[in-house]
Amino acid sequence: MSAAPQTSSVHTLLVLCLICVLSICLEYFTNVVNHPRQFITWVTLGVQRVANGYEDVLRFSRSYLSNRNELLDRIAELEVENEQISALNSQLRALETSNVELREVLGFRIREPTLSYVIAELAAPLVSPARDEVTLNRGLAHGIEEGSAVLDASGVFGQVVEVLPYTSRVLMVTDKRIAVPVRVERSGLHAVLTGVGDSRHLTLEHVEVTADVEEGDLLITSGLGGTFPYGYPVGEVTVLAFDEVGVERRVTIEPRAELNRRRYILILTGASYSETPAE
Amino acid sequence: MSIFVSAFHSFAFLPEFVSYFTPNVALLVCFYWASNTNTSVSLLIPFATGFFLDTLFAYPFGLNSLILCLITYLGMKIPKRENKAVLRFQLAGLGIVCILAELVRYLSLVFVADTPLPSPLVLVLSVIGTLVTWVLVVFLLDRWLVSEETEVSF
Repeated sequence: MSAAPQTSSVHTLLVLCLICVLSICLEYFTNVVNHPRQFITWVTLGVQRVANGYEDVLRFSRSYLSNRNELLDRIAELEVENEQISALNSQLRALETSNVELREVLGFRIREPTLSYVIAELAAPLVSPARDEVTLNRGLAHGIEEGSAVLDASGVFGQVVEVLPYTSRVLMVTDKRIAVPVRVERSGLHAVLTGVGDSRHLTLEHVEVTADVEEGDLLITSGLGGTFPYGYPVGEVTVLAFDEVGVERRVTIEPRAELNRRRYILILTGASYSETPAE
Repeated sequence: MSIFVSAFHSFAFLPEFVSYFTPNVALLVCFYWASNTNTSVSLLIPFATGFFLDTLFAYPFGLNSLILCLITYLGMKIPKRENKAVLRFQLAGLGIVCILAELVRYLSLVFVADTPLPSPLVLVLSVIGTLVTWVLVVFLLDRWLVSEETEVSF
């Protein structure tokens, strides 16, 4: 008597497993499953927001319970900070103007458009400890595109790899799958920086023994490749060593971006940001 | 419920290594449900839950569904009375199931995903986290919170 339900559950299992395997294969070879994935994202958006809402609750309760003097002190601090930033901003504008003039004199054609960006908030921290990815609360509906550069106040944060209707998945700069074209600010040496899967370190690829790199050097984006705009700090050289063969140098870099501490992040939108010498 | 708990990340003020011990909540729920209840469990529920988790955690679409369906089916096949009495047998069985699930996940990532492979240590820590959670749920909650007395012992 019990054989019939057992056979039925085996059949159900086989059918469901077949659907799963088919779905995995379809995603690997085509992008057909993007639509159901986007639909499920839309459905689970509420779940995700509630699950990550504890930080909002903590922040709200903290701000609600702060006393008047603390708030006044905080406003005073922010006013001082604002003054400093305003002063630096005007200095930066003057430098930018002279930089443009110098580039024109040297014959460089500047293609860098005005940077437009969207401020995004962390919707979910690391999706898994093994993967350096975060989810942001901005997606297709906010004009985010796949491949956009992501920055924080300190430096390059990562790159958008998947855009869903209201969220986007960002690969942090420390992930193994990301490569950022950089240059050493002091010597002008160009190189490609990659992650090593450790949130505290990055590395430079194929650096010759004679390359002009020193400990403490700041690496900035070179603008090559068109994904990351020129001049943003990426990291600082902390350790220099030789590889086993002694042909290349092993350069360890500490990322500038505050990868695990930021709540608000900028996603750049718009065209490519590279610049090329004039013909 | 398991989707909700899975989506809940560890608190930001906890040290980073704590996240390595995050238990596989959906697996635990499916396994507990299938192995501890006498009613038949529909495989469609773990199937749907898996697709939600694949979307939430950006896994290949169908991977968690496959794992949860297999785990639920295995849970249904375990004889109820033999499994219920001794916690160490439960842990041994669950440990094997968890390792099997992580193995399926790992092999799938090797063949079909461009994501970096998790280190074996991460997998082991996740299995340990799942087993510890099982002890808390089955041994402590069953014994002290549920009015119906269970016979679980070490």
